[in-house]
Amino acid sequence: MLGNNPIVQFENVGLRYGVGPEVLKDVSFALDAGSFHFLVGDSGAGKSSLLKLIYLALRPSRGLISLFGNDIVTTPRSMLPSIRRKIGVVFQEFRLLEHLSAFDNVALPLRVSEAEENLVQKHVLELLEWVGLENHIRARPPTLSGGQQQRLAIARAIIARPRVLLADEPTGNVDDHMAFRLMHLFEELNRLGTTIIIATHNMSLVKKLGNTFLRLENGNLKIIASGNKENSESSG
Amino acid sequence: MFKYQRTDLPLEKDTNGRFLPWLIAFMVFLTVISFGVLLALNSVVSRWDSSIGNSISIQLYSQQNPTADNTVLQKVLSLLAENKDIRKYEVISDQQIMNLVKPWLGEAYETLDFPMPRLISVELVEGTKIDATLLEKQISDQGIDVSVDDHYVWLARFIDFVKTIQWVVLMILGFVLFALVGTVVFVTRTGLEVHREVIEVLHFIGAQDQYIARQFAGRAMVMSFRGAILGSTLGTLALFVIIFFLEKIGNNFVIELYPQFFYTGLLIGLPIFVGLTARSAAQTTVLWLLSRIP
Repeated sequence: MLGNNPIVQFENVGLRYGVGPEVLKDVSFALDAGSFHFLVGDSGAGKSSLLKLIYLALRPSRGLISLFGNDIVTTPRSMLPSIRRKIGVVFQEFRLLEHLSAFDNVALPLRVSEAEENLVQKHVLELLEWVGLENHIRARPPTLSGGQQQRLAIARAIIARPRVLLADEPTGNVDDHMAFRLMHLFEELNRLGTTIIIATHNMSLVKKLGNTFLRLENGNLKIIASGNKENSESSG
Repeated sequence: MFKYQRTDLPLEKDTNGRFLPWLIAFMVFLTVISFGVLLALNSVVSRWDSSIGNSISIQLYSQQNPTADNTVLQKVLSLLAENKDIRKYEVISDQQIMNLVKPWLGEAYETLDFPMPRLISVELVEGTKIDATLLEKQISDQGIDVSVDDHYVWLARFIDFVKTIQWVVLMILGFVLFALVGTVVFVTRTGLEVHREVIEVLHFIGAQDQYIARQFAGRAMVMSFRGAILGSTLGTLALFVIIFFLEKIGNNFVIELYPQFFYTGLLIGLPIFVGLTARSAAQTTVLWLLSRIP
């Protein structure tokens, strides 16, 4: 897992909220560009916290995090947006903007990058068609089903062609059939070169797809190779 | 400037910002009235200063002997001619003096036989002041019964009074500007809190603080501009009404004090200034508050 040029690197990272106990302890790992990983663990194990550290919603209490070669602790705040634009996030609760249409929600990452409006129109329509929402362009998120909202959230996360895609329990609200469809969608993105990290507790899905996965247990991370074989390069 | 641009934040649904145009309108109305008063006082002072602040009058008491009175007059005039601070002087004719005293003495003034003093109106060189007491002493040293009145002495008191009022008005304008900025800052702060979750999402997808600030600034500008248009229109109308009533009671100088550009400035310049100030205040507030997020 530790390549020459990791796209995401954690070294002895610890995280605590306020004065509470550490939710992540000495987490170390490195992910290469174009890799595909599952992040598994029980509820409260720290999966979401780990993802939040990657998409820069949180700062570590200690340790070093490097994203695309930038040490995020010393990176000035003004540089964070450009790093965040390389990361797409599918939030567990989607976090779609309810006052905007499906089109405008998907267009957001392009608009914050100040892309030209004709390009926005073209790419958003293409992507909405790809995720099967071409008939819901003007629909507001509350009027869409859970699965549709999920696909909309994925479309928003990938519209700007991020180098890393994070998905927090993306199959939590959909049936098995839809879950596998989503996974294939992620695999397709991965084949195009996007690094994928999916936080899930759906172990049957993980085993079925057979990718390397990261297991969080009580804030400690273990890296487990595909085929369910525990790896020695664990931390914590 | 009148229409909102497309925003990612649902700012148009903010209930806390809906009172902003009305508040701005009221503040701008006060500003227009205060500004009008300030300008009127300014003009009054400068007009009076240039017309009577630069002059003195010399009163020569009659000796009830026309020949002696004329000799005294010539002596004084030759003294004035030597003074470099004096631009010109003019002896007020008997008829003009009679016209001056007529309101006090009535129609019978022509039949009255009492000694009238000789009056000389003296205009000083621009920017100079003369010591009236010294001039009076210089003349009386020649054995002449004289009184020199420097108009600037009483005008200075009036100017001091007017300047105090001007400072008060300026303070009011300062408070209005402060209140305007404060209101925009408050509304913006509240807006940031209300839309915290949306802003968080925008940040996570890579929005710069400037991108978010522009949306708040744009809305603050449009709302303030609308309010300022209303306030300046009502304020200008109120000024017209005040001028109309002043004219009715014979105080017509006020009209001269407001040239065309003043009204144009109020109707166009003030809303633009208010809009840009609100925009700047909102933008600065957002950038400052967002910069505190780690």
